[in-house]
Formats: sequence, structure tokens, C-alpha cells
Amino acid sequence: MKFECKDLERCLEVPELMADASEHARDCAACRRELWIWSEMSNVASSLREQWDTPELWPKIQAQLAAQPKRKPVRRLDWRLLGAVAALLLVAAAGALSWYQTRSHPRSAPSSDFLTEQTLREVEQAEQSYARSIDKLSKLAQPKIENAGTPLIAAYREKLVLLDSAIADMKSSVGQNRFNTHLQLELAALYKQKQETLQEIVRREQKN
Amino acid sequence: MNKRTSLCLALFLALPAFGREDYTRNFDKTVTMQAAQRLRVEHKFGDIVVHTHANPELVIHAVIRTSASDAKEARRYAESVRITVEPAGSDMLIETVYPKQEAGGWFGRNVSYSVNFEILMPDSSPLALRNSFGAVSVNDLKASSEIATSHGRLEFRNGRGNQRLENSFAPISVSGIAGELDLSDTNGDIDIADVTGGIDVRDRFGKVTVSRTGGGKIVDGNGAVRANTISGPLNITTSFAPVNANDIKGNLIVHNQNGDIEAIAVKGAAELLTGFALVHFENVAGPVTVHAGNSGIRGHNVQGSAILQNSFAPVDVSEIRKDASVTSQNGNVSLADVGEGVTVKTSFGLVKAERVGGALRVENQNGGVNASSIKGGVNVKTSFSGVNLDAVGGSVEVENQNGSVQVNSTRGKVCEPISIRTSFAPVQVRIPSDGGYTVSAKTSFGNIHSDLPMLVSGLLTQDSVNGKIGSGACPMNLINQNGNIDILK
Repeated sequence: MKFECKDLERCLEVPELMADASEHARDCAACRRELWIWSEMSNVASSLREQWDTPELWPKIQAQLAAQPKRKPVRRLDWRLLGAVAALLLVAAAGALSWYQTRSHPRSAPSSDFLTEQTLREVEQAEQSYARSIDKLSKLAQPKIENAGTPLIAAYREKLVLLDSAIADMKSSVGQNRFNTHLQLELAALYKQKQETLQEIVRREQKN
Repeated sequence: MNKRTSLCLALFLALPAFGREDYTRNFDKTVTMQAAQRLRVEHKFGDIVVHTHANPELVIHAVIRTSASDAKEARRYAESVRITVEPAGSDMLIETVYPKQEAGGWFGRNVSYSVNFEILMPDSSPLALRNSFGAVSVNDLKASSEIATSHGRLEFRNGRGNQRLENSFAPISVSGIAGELDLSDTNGDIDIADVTGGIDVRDRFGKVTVSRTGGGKIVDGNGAVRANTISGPLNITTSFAPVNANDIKGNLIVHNQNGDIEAIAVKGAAELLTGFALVHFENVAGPVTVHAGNSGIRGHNVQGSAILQNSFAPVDVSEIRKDASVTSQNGNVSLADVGEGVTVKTSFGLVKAERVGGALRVENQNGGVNASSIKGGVNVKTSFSGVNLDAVGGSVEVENQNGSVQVNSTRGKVCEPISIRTSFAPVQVRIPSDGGYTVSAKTSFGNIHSDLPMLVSGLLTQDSVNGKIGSGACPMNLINQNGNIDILK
């Protein structure tokens, strides 16, 4: 087929014709100018687009994503994960009950992301008790950490410094977001790691 | 009940919800991105899940959740959380901005919050994502990314392009990347699988597991490293934890401290260094070098040569196609089926060598030497222990003190020189009945005996004999003090 000026408009419907159009535009100044304008419009168009609210879109995307074959993530069951799952279920159950009891006063559904006042109190008490236990262990391990110059003790020392720094950071974040379940679980995990590290140091010392 | 259990129980059981009000608000926005425009995400306190599609639209769905002592405050805080989606330089930036909290004032200690994102982005757009206190999951991105998070699990699945991932205090899991991977974690386990390009992995106190990736580097502070099916050279550094490397299709270098090393099926050379732990290698196509202070060495089937150094622990290797050199202290050394020569230096340990294709040279102190089926010559120096040499094809030279020497030379018609010196213990030399030796035997406070007929010349005394056995083609010098000398057939 020989491409002519009148075919140019059809390029918008049949993109495959664009190669012929470009070839034709080499010798045709009018079409060349037309194609240049199209190209400029295309470049500018994307930046002219605005963002828009799409509250109805995500549920559709979610449904499509859910329909895709799922890959099994590799997860290890540990007490934190189990704790989180159990906490989620129980918080959700408690939340559902609470919602049921007070459904005459509409409000948002309670979220498993947050602890209740009572849970928080108990968590904070448990944390204090955890911290006291760690303090006792620290006193027991301190002479070994300070006196021994072995590479292993140096590594433990470094790990404890790292954990202390992370605990301080986490506490600062928890201070601003006390009911956030994720933060409380992470803080508990850090305490656990510190406790285990100190226990290892004491155990090794006892072995020697 | 221990503290951990009580903390868990506190989290699990004490949950009657009273005194708190939660509020949830959704944020949904769609924006068109320019081709190959980078998406930047700055977030904290919540999870981010990223999916991709082939379209230019960026679809953002966020769930803002707040919890406060009353519904009004919860709602007010939720309404104050801002999520901005706007161009920033050449990037498209999504940012979560939380209202400033002031103790005792509005949004004080009683408000808690989280924002979870689900993002659908163009698959060809690069991604720069920063999060903290939340998990991140990125799927099917066909462009490069830089992702950093902390205190939340990081997962990356099915990507194309170079990826740089960083986490602290939480694990990283990566699979299916057609590109290079640069990954670092602090105190979190790392799990990597199916990466076509090279890997550069750093961790401090976490366990690193890598399988089916390109070659590269793994540096861990104090964590176990397990590498399986690596398509190029691999360099591993760690301490106080074991290293397992299996099916490495290139050179393998492992520097460990106080941790076991296991290297199996290495297609190139293996350089293994540790202390106070065991080194085990098997099926190595290139040469093997091991430095293992206070560590045992066990190895099998090396196509190249082996240079092994250790102390205070045994060395036990077999099937070394080329030559083997062992330097040890206070440890037994056992070598079998070595294709070329063997050199052993040790002390206070027994040296055992079997089926050696070349020469055997042993320098020992206070340790015995047992060698058999040695094709080449044997040179042994030791003291205070016995030397037993059986089926030696080449020359024999033994210097011992206070230890017996037994030599069985089987070469038959072709004789090889024999030179033995010891004291306070017997010397026994067994030679073929048709062997030809010029014998010079000397002892003190002992007898000299020969099973084979000997043509004796010179002065005949009880402790000195000079003579010829058969053709007398090879020299046999036997010197003892306070011990017998026996020449047997």
C-alpha cells in the first residue's frame, strides 16, 4: 500500500501504520509537521494529567490480585508471630464484641493494630518486669563483658550496644504511639534478644 | 511463669476492649506516572505492599487507623494524617505526614496510629522506598529499586533489574531477581533465592541463607551462612557461627573465626580459614588451601593440590589428585590416595600416609610415622616414636631418635637407596630376596642380623658390618645406638 497524506489520521487507530507515516513524512513537509505536533502533544499530555481520587478502584484491584495464584511466603513460626496472630484474633474478637454491645452508637470498627487500655497496662507492667530481669542479668554478665578481651566477648559487647540503641529508639517511638501493637511486639522482641544474649554470655562463662 | 510467657499472655489474653475508640479512614488516589519515572515512598508506622502492572497509573490505597480515648480525638487525628502524592524533582513522591504530637496536649500520649499502604505501580518505574516500624513487600517490579526499612519484615519477589535492599532488626526474604542484588541487614535473618546476577550481602548478627544465585560476597558479623548452588565465585566472611557452602560453581573463599566450615562441590579453588572449629571439604575441582588454628581438618576428593595448616587437632584427608602439604602441631595427620607428593610437618601427633603417588616427606617431633604404598621416595625425620614404612617404591631416608624403624621395600630387582638412623630402639629392613645392596650397618649395645646372604668385607665385629647383598647396586646405611639391626626378606 502506498501511504498518502489522507492516511495520516488512520495512524491514530492503527498504530502499525506509523512506520509508513514516518517514511512518507520524510518527503512530505505537511505530514512531517503534523507528526511532530502529535509527538509533542503526547510528551506534554502525561505531565498535564492530574491525579484523581479513586475510592472505588482498589477493591477491584484487590479482587484481581487475590485471584492471581499465590506464592507461599516462607515464614518461620516463632513466638512473636504466634503472639501477633493470637493477639490479632483476640483483639479482633474483643473488638467485635465491643462493637456488638455498642452498635447503637455507630463508630469505626476496632482495629487489631492497637492495644486496649487494659492490655497496654499489662504489657507495660510485663515490660517493666522484663527490664528488671534484664538488669539483673546485666549485672551478672557485666564483669565478663568488661574484663574479658576475647573476640567473642567483643562481639557480644557490640551486639548489646546495638540492641540498647535499638531499644532506646523503639522506646522513643513507642512513647508517641503507645497502643500500636506492632511497636510493642517489636520492643518485646528486642528485650527478648537482649535477655538471650546476656544469658548466652553468662552460660558461656559458667562453661569456662 | 517466665517473663516472656507473661508478656505474651498480656498480649494475648487480657483484651476486654474498654476505654478506647478506634477510627479508620481510607485514602485512595490514582495518578499517571511518566515512562520510567521513579516512585519514591517515605513512610513509617505501617506496612507497605507494592504490586505492579504494565500500565502507567499509580494506584494508592492506604488505610489510616487511629486509636484514642474518645471517638472524636481518634477521628480528628486520623483526619490530620496527611498522605501527599506529588512530583518531587523527577520522582513521584508518596509521603505520610503525621501530626506533631505534644505531650499533654492535643494528640498526646493517648493517641496511637498506623497507616498501611497497598500500592499498584507501573512495573517499569524504579522504586525508592523508605519505611520504619512496618513490613514491606514488593512484588513483580521490573526496574531497579532501593528499599530501606527497619523493625519490619522486608520481602521482595520476582524482580528485574538491580535491587538494593536494607533492613535492621527484622528479616529480609528475596526470591526471583533477574539482576544484581545488594542487601544489608543488622540483626535480622536473610533468605535469598533465585537471583541471576551477583550478590553483595552484609549482616551483623543474623543468619544468611542463599541459594541459586550468582557469585558475590557475603559478610556477616556473627551469623551462620548457608550458600547453595551459586553460579560464580563466592567470598564468605563471618565469625562464631558455621558456614555451609554447597555446589559453588567458581572459587570459594571463606574467612571464619570460631565457626565450622563445610565446603562441598566447589568447581574452582577453595580457600578456607577458621579457628577453634572444624573444616570439612569434599569434591573440590581446584586446589584447596586451609588455615585452621586449633581446628580439625577433614577432606575428600580434591582435583587440585591441597595446602593444609592447623594445630592441636587432627587432619584427615583423602583422594587429593595432585600434591598435598600439611603443616600441623599437636595433631594426628592422616592422608590417603594422594596423586602426587606429600609433605607433612607436625609434632606430637601420628602421621599416617597411604597410597601416595609421589614422594613422601615427613618432619615430625615426638610422633610416629606410618606410611604404606608410597610410589616415590620417603624422607622421615622424627623422634621418640616408631616409624613404619611399608611398600615404598623409592628411596628411603629415616632419621629417628629413641624410636623403632621398620621398612618394607618391595621394589624387587630395581633397588633404591636406604638410609636409616635411630637410637634406643630396633631397626628392621625387609627387602626382596633378589635385591642388591651394599650394606653398611653399625650399632652399639645391639646385634646385627641378616636373613639374606651377605658377602662381608673389612673388620668383622658384633656391632658393625660392611658387605654386599646380591649385586650391591644400591647403598643401605643403617646406624643405630643401643638397638638391634635386622635385615629381613
